[in-house]
Amino acid sequence: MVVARQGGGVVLVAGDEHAHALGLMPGMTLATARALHPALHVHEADPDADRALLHKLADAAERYTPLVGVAGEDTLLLDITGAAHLYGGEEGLLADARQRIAARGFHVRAAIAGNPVTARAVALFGTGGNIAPGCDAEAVQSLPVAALGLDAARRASLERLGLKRIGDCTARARAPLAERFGKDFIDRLDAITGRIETPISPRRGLPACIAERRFAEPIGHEEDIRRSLLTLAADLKRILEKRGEGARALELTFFRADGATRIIHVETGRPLRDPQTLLRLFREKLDGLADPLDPGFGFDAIRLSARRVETFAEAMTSLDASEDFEAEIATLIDRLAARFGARRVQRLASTDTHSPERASRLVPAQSVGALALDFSAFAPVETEAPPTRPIRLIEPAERIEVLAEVPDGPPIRFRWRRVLHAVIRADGPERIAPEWWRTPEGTATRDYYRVEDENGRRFWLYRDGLYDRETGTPRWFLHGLFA
Amino acid sequence: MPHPGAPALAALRSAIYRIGKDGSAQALTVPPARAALGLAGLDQTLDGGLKRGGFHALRPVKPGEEPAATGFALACALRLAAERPLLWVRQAMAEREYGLPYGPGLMGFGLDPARLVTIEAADARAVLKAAEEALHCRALGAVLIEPWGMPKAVDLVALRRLALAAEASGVSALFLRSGGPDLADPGATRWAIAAHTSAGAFGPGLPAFRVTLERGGRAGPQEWMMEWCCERRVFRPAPSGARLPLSRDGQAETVTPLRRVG
Repeated sequence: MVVARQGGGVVLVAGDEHAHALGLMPGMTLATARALHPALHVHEADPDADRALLHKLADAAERYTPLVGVAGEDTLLLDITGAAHLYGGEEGLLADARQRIAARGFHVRAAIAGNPVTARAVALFGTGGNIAPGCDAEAVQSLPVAALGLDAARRASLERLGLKRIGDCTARARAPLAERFGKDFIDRLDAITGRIETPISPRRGLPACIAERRFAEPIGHEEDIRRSLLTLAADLKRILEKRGEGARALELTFFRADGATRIIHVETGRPLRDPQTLLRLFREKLDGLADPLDPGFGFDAIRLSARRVETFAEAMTSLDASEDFEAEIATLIDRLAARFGARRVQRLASTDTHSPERASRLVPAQSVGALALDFSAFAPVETEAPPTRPIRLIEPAERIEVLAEVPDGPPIRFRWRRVLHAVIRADGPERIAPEWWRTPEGTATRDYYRVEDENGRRFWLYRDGLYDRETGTPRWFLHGLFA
Repeated sequence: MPHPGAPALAALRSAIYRIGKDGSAQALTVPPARAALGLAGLDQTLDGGLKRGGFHALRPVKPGEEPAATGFALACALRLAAERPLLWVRQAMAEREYGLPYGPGLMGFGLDPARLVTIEAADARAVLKAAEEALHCRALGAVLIEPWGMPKAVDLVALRRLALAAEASGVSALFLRSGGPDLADPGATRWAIAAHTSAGAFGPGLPAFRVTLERGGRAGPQEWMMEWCCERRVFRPAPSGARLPLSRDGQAETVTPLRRVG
């Protein structure tokens, strides 16, 4: 049995077939169940794991349609418009879905109807199956009113009125029902009978375009997979070409014959559609997976979707070698990002700010525009001028012990990471005031010094707070290292 | 009706315009086989300079000299790359110790961050893998490779692969290692680096290095003192006899010897 804490006590929430055979039903308290059957195996409910499992199943259900929604704790809603012919019709698709989910050890209820609310009600409260087009209203007549998903109070008062089935309600005049049970009751009734359209809200946005291959014999050999990826990429290219677009984000979904599903994402720094380039990106990604792609007994379907597209600028055959260079660098960035993660391939972006730690940020190289890379304000001004900023910033700055002249002389010696440095050259202070509109109150002014020690090592130090005005004994920090 | 050669002509025009505008003509020409560093004696012993497409191994002389070693390696990368982009492969561990690459500072050093792509690799294996991948990309000028410590993954075979990739593409590899046992690396040159007292009259001056060319010079191991001219992006000999800094009133100050502590 699986149990969960509900209200004051521990209650059964689910059980296997044995438990049901013993008469243990969800809702019973654990104490009662234990009294009946002391040898019960009890597990604590884990709603997060349940949700994760449902989403795994939803991934697997994408083999039927990319439009999959999740409802409640236990329901998947699929929009199979135009998808059923691949399975020899709706019956075939339903049977295939049932069989695949059951094969993984689940108890399945499934239905196809003209709208998701009807299908869900028929699956959960009826016998399931395929409801013929236009017969939604008819199909729900015999279902209990519980299928409407009302709160317990309204359900009880419906039953007191003798309204036990949906059919009982639809036979009544709508106005009095609306008055007594509220407008949303009528809405629910209309939804379940298919009088109003209820869209499925998909878990994920729809891809811009899709290329797909299904295999009568599941494939598992690397060479077979590579060849089908190439055809998929070529298919996708044709679609993208027609639309004048290239892909910025792609997704490759491997559907294993046993139902396991693996989704591989790849992002690009510019719109792409060349099959070989796309393939190389996925190769990088696949080679770099910590948990490699496992074909098991083979994949029976593979889908390549472009999730984000942009207008594709036709490459001019140019004489300008530097443009080719740019394209080559962009390709390299994409490949490295696919392999090591987009977050790890970085460029330095500038921010116009006085705050040293905010002036420069490492950002994913694929997402950065050329403007963000402008550090020209810090370019060397003349031949003999030394750099005023360190090549490496230690963030957060590290506390150091400093001996300095009071009130605001440069440091004479300081201790950093247990090593004492004697300062023989110092330049400063460069006063950097906090940006009052951004920083919390009480942030002090900093006086920065460039210093060099007896070994020629150069450091960037600052005193936090003006002596005597903002703080009694100023604290010192090491913020960066010069070459 | 437009002339059939019009697109090519337009491309040519834009190429010429670009050259005229920022002097990027250098990107179009193949750089010479060796990059002169700027010190006559050193360039002579290197047969003209650092070999492009070579594997150059660098290390700090002792702990604490890592920032100087990074600076020297970046400067060499700038000499080698001509106007081409640079790739800097770092290992995530190193930043905890020595901080993150800092845009304003790199700009002031002579490396425009717009030319730089950097990778923060999770471990040494990833550092090597990313470096090898990058060394195959001809569009790059140089790849600075900076693994942390001397992990097992960094063996002679791995280094040789990098050297071969560099040789094949002509992209220079700068392999900066901190600590670990000495490997007979397959490099064209090997360097040991320390910071050198700068020549600033008041504050710290231009970046200065005390560098030993351990291998690759015609004259055997030799020590060189140099400073890096950030604006011109070239080395020059460090002014001989490190001057003592002047105090603010212009008098030469005496530096009192300090006790050694810790």
